[in-house]
Amino acid sequence: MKITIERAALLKALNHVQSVVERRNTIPILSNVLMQAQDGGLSLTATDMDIAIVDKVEATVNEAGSTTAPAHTLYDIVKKLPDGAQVNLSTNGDQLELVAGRSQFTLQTLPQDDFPVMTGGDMPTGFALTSSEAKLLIDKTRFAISTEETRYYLNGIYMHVAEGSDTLRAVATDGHRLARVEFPAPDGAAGMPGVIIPRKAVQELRKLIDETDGDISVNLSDTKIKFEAGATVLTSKLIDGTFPDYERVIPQGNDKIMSLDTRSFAEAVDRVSTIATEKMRAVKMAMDSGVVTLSASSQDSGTAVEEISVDYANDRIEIGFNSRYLLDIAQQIESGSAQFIMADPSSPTIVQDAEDKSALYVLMPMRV
Amino acid sequence: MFDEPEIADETNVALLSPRDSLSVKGHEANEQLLLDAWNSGKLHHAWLFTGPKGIGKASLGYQFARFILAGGGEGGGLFGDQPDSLKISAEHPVYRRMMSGGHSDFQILEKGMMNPDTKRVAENDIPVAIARKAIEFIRLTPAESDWRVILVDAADDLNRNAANALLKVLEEPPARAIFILISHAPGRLLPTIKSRCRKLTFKSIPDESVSELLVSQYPELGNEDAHALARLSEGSIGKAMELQDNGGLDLFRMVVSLLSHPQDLSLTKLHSLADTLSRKDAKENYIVFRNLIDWWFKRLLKILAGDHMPKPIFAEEYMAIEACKALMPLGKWLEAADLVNERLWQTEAPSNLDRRQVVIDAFLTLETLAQGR
Amino acid sequence: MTASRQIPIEFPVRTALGVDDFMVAECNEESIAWLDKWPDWPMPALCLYGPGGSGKTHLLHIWCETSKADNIDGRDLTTDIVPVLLESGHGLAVDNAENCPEDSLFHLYNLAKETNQKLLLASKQAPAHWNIGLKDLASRLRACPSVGLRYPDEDMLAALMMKQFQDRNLRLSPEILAYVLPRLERSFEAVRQFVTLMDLESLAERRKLTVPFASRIMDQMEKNKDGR
Repeated sequence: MKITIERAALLKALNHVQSVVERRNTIPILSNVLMQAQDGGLSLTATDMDIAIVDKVEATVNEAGSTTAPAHTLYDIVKKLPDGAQVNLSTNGDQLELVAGRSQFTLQTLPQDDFPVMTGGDMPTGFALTSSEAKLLIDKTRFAISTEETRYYLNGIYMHVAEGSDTLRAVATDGHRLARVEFPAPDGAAGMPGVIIPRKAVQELRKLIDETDGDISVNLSDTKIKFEAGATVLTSKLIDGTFPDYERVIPQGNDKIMSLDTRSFAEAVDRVSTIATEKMRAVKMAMDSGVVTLSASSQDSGTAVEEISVDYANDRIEIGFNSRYLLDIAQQIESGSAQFIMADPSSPTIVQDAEDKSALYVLMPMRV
Repeated sequence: MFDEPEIADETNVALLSPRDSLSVKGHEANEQLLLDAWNSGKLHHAWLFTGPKGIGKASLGYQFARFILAGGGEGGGLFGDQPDSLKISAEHPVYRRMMSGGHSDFQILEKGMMNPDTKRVAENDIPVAIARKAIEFIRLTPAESDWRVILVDAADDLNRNAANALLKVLEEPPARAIFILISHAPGRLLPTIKSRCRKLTFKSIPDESVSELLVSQYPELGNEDAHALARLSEGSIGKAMELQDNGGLDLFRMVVSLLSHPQDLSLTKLHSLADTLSRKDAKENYIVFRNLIDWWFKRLLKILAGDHMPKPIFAEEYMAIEACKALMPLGKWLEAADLVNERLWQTEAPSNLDRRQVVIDAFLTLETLAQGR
Repeated sequence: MTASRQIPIEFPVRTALGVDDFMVAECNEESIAWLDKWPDWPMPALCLYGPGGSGKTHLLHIWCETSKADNIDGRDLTTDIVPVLLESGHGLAVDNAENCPEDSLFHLYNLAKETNQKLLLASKQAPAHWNIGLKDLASRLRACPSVGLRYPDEDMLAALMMKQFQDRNLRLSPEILAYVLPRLERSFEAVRQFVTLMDLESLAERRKLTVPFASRIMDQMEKNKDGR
């Protein structure tokens, strides 16, 4: 392998892929980045065996070939090279030589055949998401992903096409709150298997979306998913489990509707919950005509009460919620106005952005 | 003969690392059982390989894992016949990647791995943090193969919490996930783990049988040599044959001869040994030689530490042990063993030194130490 | 404010209802034997009775799979739909049969007999205890074989508990099983309650399933009983 490549381009790609490489790996091949040079470009691949990221950079390829070299060391070296440097990389036996200006480095390499292969395989479903659709899928649901290891099948976002409809949906839940977002299914998504995308992959994908304005192309099978954004490809394993039948827990007949100003609500909740010291930070919401009274109390610190004006014309009702959950959901509501659709103090409550019904949140109350 | 595999670190007591052994001799019945289970289409998800240490359990475990990850190996015919062997060639990509630790659908659990919580190597057991990583692994889909395989070598090393954590997935495994547990002392394993596994017993063959088998396989082999090989391979017919194929007994004789006077090495003998090992086609022989040295040092150290004297391989070996015992105490031999072993590994990357040079250097280092310099 | 508790989402449980999932034990062997004998039943109906959670519904499902019969709840039976229900010729399973309007059940029985179809009637108690007013119906049902699903023995309870845990994707540790079995009321209902509470409470509090936790759940079950 013999190539010449621009420092900035190489650095950007290395920075990208190395986030997936675990530091202090006991398995040498996993600390390396796979470099494949051909057809006027260099492909860099890094993996932690759950996720693989491939970045393609333009390069002058004098001699095609591939090898693997320590990812972090390579990155550190390239970072310290001067701006605008032209980097020459060539393999010599089992070493990689890097020459840039008057600096020369040699790195120990490991053979390409030792490197994990995650990116192959049949992925029969394929469709494209716009950058904003992809952001929607993640941003609206991510906060509700469970971190509990017992219910491993909740540790990701469930992406699927809703039964009997033409919408693409992403759902996440941790058993206390549930988030569902949907929009018209893109071409090619129909008939796709429902997949649970692991949290780690969601994180990496989100970073990827930030760097591109263009469409994200998605390919998947029932064992793998692949996202392509610009010159970067992210491949990930899926969670091997069955996502619960979430539709049955979204209440249909809740009839007590309250609209409020998101910001003032959040600020009031925040203030009132300062007093609560129990681990759960419960806040009681007492809804009455045109007003909701927020209250919290703790044996050690005292009590807090605050009233805010809301749009509510139904029966008096009192429901308790975890203040953290209330604040999380308030943060999800982008428009100024949020809607709470309630039934009773021990049933699920629906929360929505009054101006954007693509996302729906279910929040379970607390018994106070 | 075989491709020299790249091994990152070396902790094997066995003469050949289980990870490397391409084919495992001496346990054909068990191999057939596994093959039949695979071909029946109803492969049980958890297997427990039991039997004395060092006789090939882990080797067959790795072989079976390779076979599964290669989707049933290469044994079948073009027309979709069922495979008739667990063998996977060293050229197969699955083989390479399992060796390098780069197969995304294979997970090994063993002593000496890095504990992700404490960031330290767990020398003496398999802690729960590592078991958890394996569980997280099995909860994800496979990326390359249709299957996932977890190999525990050995289940005896799982600490209490790790065993309990593993039990969870043994009881509710996902589809197409296989657990292979190696155990030298199944009496101490959690009964709940045992009850989930299909048991495969491995028997060590008595020396007498090993030497008989050897003589039948190698008609030119004399009885005395056959017996010595049997003792050297500690009951594993596989190892015995591998030794015989690589001139192991002769090498061992040369080594013993040198080690009868470590403080005053015969240079003729040393050069003769170095010559033998530096021949172009002696790559495999060198590995066998290096493993023999490692094994013998461990044997010596155990004796120095108070273990009773095992049956000598042959008379001269007994004398070499006595000579070494009298020469230096345990502490010095520990040092010597480390130094020699380290030197012998310098034939690998990054030093890539010449075999001849390495062998001579290793023994001269020993001599210096033995002379008290 | 007393200690507040987060209420968890109650996800529907996918109960495994296949024939492989049904656990045969002494207490339900007889009923299984009868179902195996179908269509070789001496009378137009077979009555299956037993307490809640005893597996009646499961058995009904299995029989419907085999016979291709439809399934209806006793409360929903009316005289005019009887012909429709027996149209297919495969027979009919009636759950909660003691809640059938008597004349509709009478009509159903007669039509089944005429068209040579079989009925599987499931109920909490044997027909002899239904207090049937309509004498002709009572005499017909009396003549039909009725099989009781008995109260479970410890093995059955253990197996049931394991299965219900599995249905909810949870793991029943041997320690919890050993602790709970001798202390739990010997009924299918108690098992069901215990497993449901373990699932919901652990989800609500994000707690792992341990013996102390199981002990708390059992205390709660005691309190609930007293509260009633």
